Amino acid sequence: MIEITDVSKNFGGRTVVRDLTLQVPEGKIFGFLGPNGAGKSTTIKMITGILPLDSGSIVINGTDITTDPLKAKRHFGYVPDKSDAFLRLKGREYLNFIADIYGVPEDQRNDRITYYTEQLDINEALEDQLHTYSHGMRQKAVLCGVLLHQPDVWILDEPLTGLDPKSAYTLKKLMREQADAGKTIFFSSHVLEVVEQLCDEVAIIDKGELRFQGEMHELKEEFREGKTLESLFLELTGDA
Amino acid sequence: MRNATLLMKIVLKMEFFRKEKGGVWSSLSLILAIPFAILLYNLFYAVFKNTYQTLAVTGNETALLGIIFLTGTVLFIVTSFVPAVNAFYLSESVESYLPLPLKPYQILLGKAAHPLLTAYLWNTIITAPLLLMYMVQAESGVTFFLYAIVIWLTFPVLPFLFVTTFLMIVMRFINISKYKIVPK
Repeated sequence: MIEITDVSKNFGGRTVVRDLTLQVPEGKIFGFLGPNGAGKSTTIKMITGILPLDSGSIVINGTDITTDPLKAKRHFGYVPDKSDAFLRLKGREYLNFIADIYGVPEDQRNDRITYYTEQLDINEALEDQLHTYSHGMRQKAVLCGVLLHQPDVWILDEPLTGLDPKSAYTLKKLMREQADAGKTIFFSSHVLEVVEQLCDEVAIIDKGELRFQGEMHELKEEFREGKTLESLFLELTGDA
Repeated sequence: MRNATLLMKIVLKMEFFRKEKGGVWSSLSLILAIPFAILLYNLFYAVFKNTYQTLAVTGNETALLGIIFLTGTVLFIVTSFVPAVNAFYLSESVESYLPLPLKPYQILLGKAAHPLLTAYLWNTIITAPLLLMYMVQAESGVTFFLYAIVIWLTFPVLPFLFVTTFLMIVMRFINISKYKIVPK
């Protein structure tokens, strides 16, 4: 579970996230929606400990990211929108590094590497360096890294960008499986179709402020009044 | 410490062993550089020997040690500067390390690994031979040798700390990271 309480973030006097309060429950896929520059990535960077909070608190599975970052970071796996680090490592070296950092035992890690890389179709590229991978393949390698240590919370920033339809389908299937197993899946997107297909609950953010939070069926009730998710999104973000 | 070692190993592997290779010409020039370096060291030893003997007449031969360390310090400051700026301010890798369960000092060591090892490479190429030349000339004993090893090991740390502290102060006023080119 992720509990975000009254979180604010300023950059050079400009408020990027203002008094954001969110509760991301377990066992659900939670979509975090917003137009470009709405504050989605900044929020995710604060949840993952990349950026410090100006005010408020973020608690991941009962551990505050500010007061006990090390413990909090063990609870989640993070897939960023672009994966440009570790590019000179081979796929297998990267996965072994992640497994070492999270203390995944040798016997388990090998089985998991084989299983998940086959699932995501990158098993044949494991001995190649990551910089030779396409964007989608890099995303898949990072995803495998997350799956290796099987965290309780998944945080994904625009995870489907650059993935081919088969990989996108596999990822969506994995997200559903993990949510059904009681894990927390938090992902940002601005692709409304994906949110519509996948999410149990959504939050819509615009100009750093929360415009809507609720379950998908609450949004779908709006559809009955003749509105599409797109028109609702545009209305909430002030672009209609 | 285990995680710091892991991160340092990974960073060094990426920085030193996985960069684009220059091909045949690069390997050939490296092979040609070996006899050239031996020649250069011999030539330099002759100059060093003369200087030592001249200074020894007036009992000032220890001034050579001062020159060695001064040269080393200037060299480390100059050669650490660019790798330190790259590692600490231009590289985006910290965004990949921060979500991992690593302590700040482990990330710092990981980031420092490349510029610090660069300083040690210069330390091996320049300071170590000069200290050896001094030992040969002074006919020093084991004690000097042990001191020399300790000094050689700790020597690059201070200039490196100076460079990184200086950069930290400068970067509070100018933000060069906006001009960054992410090293691939």
